Amino acid sequence: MRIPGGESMLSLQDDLTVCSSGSKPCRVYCVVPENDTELWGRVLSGDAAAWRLLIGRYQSLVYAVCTRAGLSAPDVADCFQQTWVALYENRRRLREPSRISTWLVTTAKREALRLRHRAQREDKETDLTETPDSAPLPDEVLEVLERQSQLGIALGELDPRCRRLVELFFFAPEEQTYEQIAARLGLASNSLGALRRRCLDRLREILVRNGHMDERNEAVKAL
Amino acid sequence: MSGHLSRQELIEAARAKKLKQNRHLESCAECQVAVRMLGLFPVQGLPPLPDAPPILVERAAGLAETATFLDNIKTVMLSLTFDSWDEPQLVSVRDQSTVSDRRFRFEAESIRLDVRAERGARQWAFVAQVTGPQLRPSQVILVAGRQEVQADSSGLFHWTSTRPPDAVKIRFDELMIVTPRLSWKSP
Repeated sequence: MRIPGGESMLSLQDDLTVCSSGSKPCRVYCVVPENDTELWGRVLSGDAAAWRLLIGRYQSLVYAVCTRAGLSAPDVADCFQQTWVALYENRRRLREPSRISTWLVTTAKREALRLRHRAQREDKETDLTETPDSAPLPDEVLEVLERQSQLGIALGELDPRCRRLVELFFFAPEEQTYEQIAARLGLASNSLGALRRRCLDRLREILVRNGHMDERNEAVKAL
Repeated sequence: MSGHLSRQELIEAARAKKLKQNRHLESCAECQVAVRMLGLFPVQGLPPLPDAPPILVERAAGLAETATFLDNIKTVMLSLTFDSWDEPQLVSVRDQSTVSDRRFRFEAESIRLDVRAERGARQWAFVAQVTGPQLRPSQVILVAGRQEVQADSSGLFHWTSTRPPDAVKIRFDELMIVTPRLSWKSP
């Protein structure tokens, strides 16, 4: 069940009860966050709250692309704003809302390079001696950023215990033993295996629902 | 949970172009799922993406609110009727002072916008004036790039910027007038 027109809410699932159409019935009242396609439908109908939610979802991704281009702070701000302006102005022409993250990365890169070139031209005209780094934003870096964003969104939709488990197992800066992870989660280490499996399955379902992974467990191609 | 692959082993398995012969991986569905996930999302150990400053987020979020307002107002495109950089110069007369100073006139529907741009050592200085029937300068906002400028008591708009704008917009109550895209490539 969804609350129409309201803020997306994290699932209130506990014990990983699946709460989506065609699955086991919910034991608790569940609100499922909208995926990008659903949110985009609301944006097209003029829903400013939906637009704000979308920005909240991808603001860190766009900002990350803009900040990696070696721009000044004002130009980073311009890059950020112009990316969202471009999305809004072209909103009725966007063909694949499920790939909005890719569209945003591509557009932010284009804006960043445009501003970078403009800054380089101006620097030449004012005879600054420092030569800016002219390397463009490589696609491999942008792809990792996009994956980080997609995973961050999906992790945010997990229940807190699963989110913590997945983060500790896979994405913490340093590897931790199973015993250490169990201790941090307050669990017996022999219960981690099954829990890890359930959490990863849940994460996979969220990624599929969000259009960032397909049913064959392949990542939807970024960029 | 003994017997399962460590994170490093899972990462190596995920990165391998061919899955190494690993008896545990062949039979452990949990580790297979983990390897698949790590392969699809190779972001282990990376710090989370930093949030954009709230002011930038607010400005972007405001696009939808502004657009709803703008959808209801009339937009008029101005035509460029004079550009000093397009004027022919006498041989040897075009010097640096000519290039660093530029004057425009835009017109449409009895509205006239005059803009003067002067290039200093580190920034541009602009003065603009909009005239037309029944226009009160107090109601008018000039938008150039990221700046919004109100007229002074003489009805003139003054602003400075390190970069010249791509376009200039003038916003009234129910009307927006917009210049064509401007090129600032020196003649």
